[in-house]
Amino acid sequence: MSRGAFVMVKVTLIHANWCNVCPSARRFWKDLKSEYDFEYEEVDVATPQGQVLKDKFGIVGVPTTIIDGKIAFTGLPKKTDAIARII
Amino acid sequence: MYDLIIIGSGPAGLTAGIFAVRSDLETLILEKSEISGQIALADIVENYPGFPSISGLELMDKYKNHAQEAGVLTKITEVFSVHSDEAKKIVSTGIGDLESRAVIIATGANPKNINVPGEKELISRGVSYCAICDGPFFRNKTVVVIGGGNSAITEALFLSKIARRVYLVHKREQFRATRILQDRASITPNIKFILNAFVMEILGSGGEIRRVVKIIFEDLKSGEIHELATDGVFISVGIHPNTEIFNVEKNEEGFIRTNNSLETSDKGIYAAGDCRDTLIWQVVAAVSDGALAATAANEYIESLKNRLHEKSLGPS
Repeated sequence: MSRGAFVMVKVTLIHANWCNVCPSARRFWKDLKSEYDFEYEEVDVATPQGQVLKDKFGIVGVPTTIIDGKIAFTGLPKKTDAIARII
Repeated sequence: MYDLIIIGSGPAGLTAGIFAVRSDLETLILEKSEISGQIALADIVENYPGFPSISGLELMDKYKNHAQEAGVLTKITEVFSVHSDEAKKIVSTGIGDLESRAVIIATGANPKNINVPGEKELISRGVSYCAICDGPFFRNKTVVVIGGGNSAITEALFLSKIARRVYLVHKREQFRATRILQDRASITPNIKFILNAFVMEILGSGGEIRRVVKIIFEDLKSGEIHELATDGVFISVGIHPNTEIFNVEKNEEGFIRTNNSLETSDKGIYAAGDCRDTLIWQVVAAVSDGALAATAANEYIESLKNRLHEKSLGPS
């Protein structure tokens, strides 16, 4: 299915306060957001919304990145791989 | 042209950077990932002198802060290759080709896979290489830790505080971890050892969202095949060095071979930390390597500069 002209990619980063990698993942996606146009939100897995997403996607690892409703990455992706998913 | 380019900003790379800057070398550290240093993923470090107990992340933050205060310059980019061209090194990167008089490879290592069916398919579905990252998802559940070294037992001890039951599965008769860690694990009530066990497969549930449900292992003494129900599998079987792109001499496992000055088979290129062939892969050794490699590189750069200076003066 091709992307329409006005539909932005949606990136959701699931993170946790116990996760050592998560601060870097948050910085990574925020930096990418300053270079590229996409919708971005961060969800703490400990919140009600986080728990819903955790159950919906069967998440047992953080950071997990969901792009357009599908799990795209677990851990920190390579920048080139991330860019390929958002443009 | 830089005097020194350091590839990798873990403990070895940052220490090399600090020593290089203090020797007045024009230095640049290249790092491809926001997360540098395996140590950042360690729950607790207890064998770094001066710190009886410190989290890996805290220790890594101290290195970063020290390097920043010392004036070490770091850029985030991928390195594709390093090659020698007369008296300089050309480092091909995502931000173009960079020239340097010397290079220190401090690219570290990553966790090894066990290469069994189900391992790749069930990553983030119950298969993990980082207990501190993913352990909390297994609160009051059953987990398996595969491995027999210090890292495996440390992960099992961490997980024992969260999970209901931890099975520590190792293919040999004995663990190779230090005695203190083995003793600690043996008296932890919810850790059970399964030795002489070779994990053959990790199985997941069916359905749209697959999850780990069990492992299959062979008892290497009896030859019997067993199933073990589990919610998660944490793999901690050693490390694989990040050295594929470097054209220097390595051992059969890919760790870079160096001389006593940490110089590789390519003059002016040094290796430090977990990426090299050494006796122990510990943060204290990585830090020491960083200091030694930077010192050796400095002497090399000085002699290079002197030779070039003498050449420019011409015959007397």
